[in-house]
Amino acid sequence: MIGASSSGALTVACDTLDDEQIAAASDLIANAGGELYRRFGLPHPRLLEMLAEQLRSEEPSEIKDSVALLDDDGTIAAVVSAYPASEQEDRQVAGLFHIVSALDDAEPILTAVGHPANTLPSIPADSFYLARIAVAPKYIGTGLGSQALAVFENKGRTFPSLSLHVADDNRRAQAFYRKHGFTAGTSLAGGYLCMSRPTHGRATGAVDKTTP
Amino acid sequence: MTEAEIYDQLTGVMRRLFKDESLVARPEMTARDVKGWDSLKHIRFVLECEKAFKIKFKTAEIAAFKNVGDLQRLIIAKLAAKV
Repeated sequence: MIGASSSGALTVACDTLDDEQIAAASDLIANAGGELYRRFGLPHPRLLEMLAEQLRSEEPSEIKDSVALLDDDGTIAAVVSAYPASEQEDRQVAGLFHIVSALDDAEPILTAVGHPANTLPSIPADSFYLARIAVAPKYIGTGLGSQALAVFENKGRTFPSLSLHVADDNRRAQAFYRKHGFTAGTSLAGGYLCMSRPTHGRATGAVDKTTP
Repeated sequence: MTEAEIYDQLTGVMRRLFKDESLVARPEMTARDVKGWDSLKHIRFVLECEKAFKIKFKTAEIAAFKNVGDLQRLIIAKLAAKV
C-alpha cells in the first residue's frame, strides 16, 4: 500500500503493463478525461479498448509514453501522461484520428471536440506538458498525487518550464498545483486555466524504472 | 491511378470539404494555404481521402505528411500495396 509516508511508489512505463493493468490504467484515464470523453458518446467498454490500444502503441497520442505508479501488489494507483508541448497538436490529431477512424460515424466525436467548451488556453511552446494525471480514488489524500507530479517533474526536468491545464472550478486541484509552485495564467478558455512554473532542480518522490 | 488523377481527386475532396471551388491540390500546398484547415478539418480531410481512395492511413502517417505532395506519395504507395 502506498501511503503519505511511503519512500516512493514504483513507476513503470504503461506499454510494459499486463492486460489487467492496462485495463485498469485505461479506466483511470477515461475517468480523468471526464466531460470530453462523455461528449464522445462512445460506449465505455469501447473507449477503454481504444485507450488501451493507445497505451500500448508506438504511434503518437496524448497518452503515448504514459507512466503508471504501482501499489506493492501491482495495482495501478496512478497514471501520468506528459510530453513536450511542441508535440501537442500532432499527438492530439493522431490520437483523435486513431479513435474516429475506427468508427462508422466520426462526426459526433469531431463535433464534440470542436465544441467551444473544449478549447483550451495555449501553453508555453517550450514547456513540458502534463496531459493527464489520474489517481485511483482509494489513493487520493495519501500523498500519491505529489509522487505522480514528481514523475512529471522528473520527465520534464530538461525543459525550461512545466505546464498543465486545470478546470477553473477545480479549486482543490489548483491549490495542489500552487503548493507545488505552479501559477495560473490569466487567460481562460473552455472553463480551463493554464498553470505553469519554471523547471528547477531534480524532482524526487518516486522510484523511476521507466528509463535505463 | 496516375499522379494527375490523384491530384484531381484530392482537388475534389478539398473543394467539397473546404467549400471553395477555386482550390486546386498542388504538391507544395499546406494547411496554411487553405482557409479553415485546422486540426479537426485535417482529420476530416484524411477520413475523406480514405473513402475516396479506399485506403486506410496509420495514426502516425497523418501527422507525418507535411504537404499535399507527401500525401499524394503516401496514397500512391498505399494503392500500389493493394495491387
